[in-house]
Amino acid sequence: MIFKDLLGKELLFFDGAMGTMLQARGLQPGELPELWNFTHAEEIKAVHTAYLEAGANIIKTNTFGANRLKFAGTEIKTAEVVQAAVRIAKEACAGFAKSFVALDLGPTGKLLAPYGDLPFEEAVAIYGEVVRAGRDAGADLILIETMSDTYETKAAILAAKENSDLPVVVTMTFDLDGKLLTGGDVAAAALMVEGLGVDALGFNCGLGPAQMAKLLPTLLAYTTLPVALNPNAGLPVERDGKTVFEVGPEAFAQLMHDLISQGVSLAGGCCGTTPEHIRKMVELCGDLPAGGGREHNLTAVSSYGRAVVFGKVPLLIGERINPTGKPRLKEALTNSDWDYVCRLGLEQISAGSHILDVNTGMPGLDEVVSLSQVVPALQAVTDTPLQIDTSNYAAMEQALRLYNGKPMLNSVSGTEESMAKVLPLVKKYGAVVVGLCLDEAGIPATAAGRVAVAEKIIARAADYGISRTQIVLDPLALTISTGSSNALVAMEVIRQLHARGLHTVMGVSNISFGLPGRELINSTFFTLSLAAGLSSGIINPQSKAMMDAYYSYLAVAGLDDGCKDYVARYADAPKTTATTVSEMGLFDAIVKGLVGESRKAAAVALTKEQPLEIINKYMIPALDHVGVGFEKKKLFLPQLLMSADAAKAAFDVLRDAVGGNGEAKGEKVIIATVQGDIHDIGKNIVKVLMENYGYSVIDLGKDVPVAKVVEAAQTYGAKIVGLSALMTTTVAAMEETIAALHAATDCHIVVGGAVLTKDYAAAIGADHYAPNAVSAVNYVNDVLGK
Amino acid sequence: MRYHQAEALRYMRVPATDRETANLLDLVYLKLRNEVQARSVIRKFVCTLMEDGVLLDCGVKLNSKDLARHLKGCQEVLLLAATLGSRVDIAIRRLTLGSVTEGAAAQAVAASVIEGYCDEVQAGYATELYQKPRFSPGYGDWLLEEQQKLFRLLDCSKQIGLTLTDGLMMVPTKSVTAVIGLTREAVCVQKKCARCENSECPYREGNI
Repeated sequence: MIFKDLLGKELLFFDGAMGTMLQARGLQPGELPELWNFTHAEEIKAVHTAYLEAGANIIKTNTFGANRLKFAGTEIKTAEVVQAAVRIAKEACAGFAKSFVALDLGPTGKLLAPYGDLPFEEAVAIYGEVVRAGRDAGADLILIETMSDTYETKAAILAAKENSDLPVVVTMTFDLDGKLLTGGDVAAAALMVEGLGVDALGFNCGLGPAQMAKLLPTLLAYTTLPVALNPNAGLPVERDGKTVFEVGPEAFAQLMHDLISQGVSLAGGCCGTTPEHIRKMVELCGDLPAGGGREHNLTAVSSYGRAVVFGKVPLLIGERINPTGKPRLKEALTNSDWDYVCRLGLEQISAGSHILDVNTGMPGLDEVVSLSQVVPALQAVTDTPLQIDTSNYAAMEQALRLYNGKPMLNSVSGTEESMAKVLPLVKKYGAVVVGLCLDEAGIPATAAGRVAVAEKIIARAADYGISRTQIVLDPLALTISTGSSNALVAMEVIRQLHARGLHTVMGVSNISFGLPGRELINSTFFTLSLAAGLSSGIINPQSKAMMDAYYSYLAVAGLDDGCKDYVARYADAPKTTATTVSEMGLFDAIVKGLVGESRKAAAVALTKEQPLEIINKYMIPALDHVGVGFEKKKLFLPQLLMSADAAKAAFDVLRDAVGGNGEAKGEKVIIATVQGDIHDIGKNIVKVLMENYGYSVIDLGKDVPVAKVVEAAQTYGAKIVGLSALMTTTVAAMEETIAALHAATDCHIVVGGAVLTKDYAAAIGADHYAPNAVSAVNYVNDVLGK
Repeated sequence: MRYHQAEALRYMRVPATDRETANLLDLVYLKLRNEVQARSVIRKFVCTLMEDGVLLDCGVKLNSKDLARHLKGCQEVLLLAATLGSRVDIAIRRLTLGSVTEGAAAQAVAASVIEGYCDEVQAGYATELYQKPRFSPGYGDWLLEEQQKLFRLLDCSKQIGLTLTDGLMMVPTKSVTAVIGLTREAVCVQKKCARCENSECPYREGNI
């Protein structure tokens, strides 16, 4: 009898807590329970046996924390711990019908990069080691449990599926508000986990059955898979300095009966549950049917934080992260200036994007590298889902792999090559994919021809086990300047696909290519396409005309209840958009720290003077003025920072004016927070200030290894390197970095950070100690002769 | 969940009378508060004070003369770990990208929120004894390496999602771990800054 034959067809019972049982047998706080597989094998087996006798079908191996991170610095071998645990569990199962051994995988105990410092692929490797050992030892299934971070969950699932053919069950831990420790909700997590191809999913730990009852309906609505529930015996209560769980076996069984009846297929317990809890539950619920899987018609993507569902209101996909025709973005991508890319994303989110399209394809740049840097960088600052947009298959797979959530992928076409390359990736990483209505024969001229291509893609996807709900179709807008019926054809495709219950996505602005007054055509076409049933538009959300079209459409189409959004947007809008001209000069605007004024003043100045003149005549004197005031303690940090923000705003205006061709670019300065240190506020302030002085700052980020700093200094030929360290423990890394830089380069090194002093900085070999950002800039000015 | 404006102003290194910065902090607090996912774990241990550290009844010894001195007269300690969660870190990064002013203000607001949250958690822990000020790894001679012991004892990553980097930094960053001595004497409750040896610290109360 194998597990998969019974899953979803017959209600199966998990065991209860292991930790609780081991504590009762003398496990001490801080002691590694997994070592009991060697030292107390009989005790472990006795716990398993007690659960099996109580009626459990699936027992969890004592491997929750068994990974090489937990055993670091010891002689303990992860594989041996895992093999011992599986062996004990299998011995216990002998003689019990319908009993299965679940290889138990818990959290690594580390936060994954970019939120913490464990690289994603290292997490996959750590879990892979456990999976291979468990597989070889004969586990029947893999249980990934107590997961509170979607990213780590994804790493564990990939490891399980890439290293075994065993069924995979995932249970995650939510709080009373229905949130993971990393902030994700049930919908977002369920979408990602199901997409990755597991066999069942659900909740464990954190909550008791009564609290899980509140989250269960959402889970059932967002997954088609069998559901598993392993709650605690209630919420933890503090009694005499001890944590206890107070829902007794009878009450637990009763509560579980109600939950299982709603459609659960796997039920057991977590903290505080005992064999008695399981026994009572099996007695009361043993005859209930398994909920099994269920159908739904949901097309949705997610990030680690939230889900975005197609078909409610039309969705806006921000198109601006795409270097085609954008010299400034090209420059940023070439210089690994991810901050700039992130700002482009954040601006579009503020403007109303539900999803961001991310395309980094440009000649001369390795897209595998750039896309796999930009995706995590964006996910480090926003939980807006991303649409990965590339035709480079290697870049596509890397980005899908590193994406934290259920991704949207742009795109697959109806050509054999595209379908053969892209669809397996869609299946493996659980993406929602954009299907382009074109194939080897090109773009069909008729709506019927394009719909036929759509049907072909859907049919081929089904061969890979991909549901039609996972495909969003692009009818393809061709410019009306070369064919007057092009818009009509696209809208007819939308109508026909909509009538078949399919979702659509379209790059709207192509429609006006080659015409004057493009926004007028674009916004009119957008409105008509929405009316035809378009589910999502790839647009520039910072275009007023497009957003006007969108919000007025929602109001007219009955998609904006009480016209609330429309009123919120337009009630207080000025009657006429008079172009406001700054009353204030750029110097004053920067000194006063006024971002908006500064931006306007820069635009005014540009009508009379060249960017370089503006920088030298107004901006640098203003920054100097503020800097002197700060050093004399006439001004405080916030005023300095506000001036920096204002100068930056002006600087961006100048850079946009010169088209990012590098005119305003100065000498290169490298800055980094040293290895081991993750504090970057001081470094970030220095960066902005230096950029305002016209330097080209290469920001290596935080926790930067020595070799990377040296390599960057050599690659960029920088004369100055700025290093930051905030902790006494990381000054050693700073000293090491300085020594390596001095040995390999002749650059000047300026250091800063809370624990440093002038003498201390000199002792570790720094050329200059900057007690604040102004001092750092002054030093750079001195060295570079400004 | 509230932030302590006066404390945040001190972290911004401005005088308590700076209304403009106070308004900025209020504004940033509004942007930050929905990102806070505060969690904590607190446990009581019986302790034995030694010359060079503190022995807990579970057998773990915390090595620090300064800690032992700080806990003078205590037979019990609370171990506390608290965090505002990783969404606050994400929000601070996001705000910093838009404006370094808001980024710095967000750092200050979040720092005051986590301190205030620790106070709340401690106040909610029923004990008849007085609680001494928090003492954390990195204070005085207590090495940051000892942080690992607190993380194991409190099972921080599983319980509250608080983790350590290889360089022993806490992530999420707006987090606190501490030992709190329990004592019958009401004399020792003093301001944190007053007993710190770093009299030149720019953040020290009274130094601005």
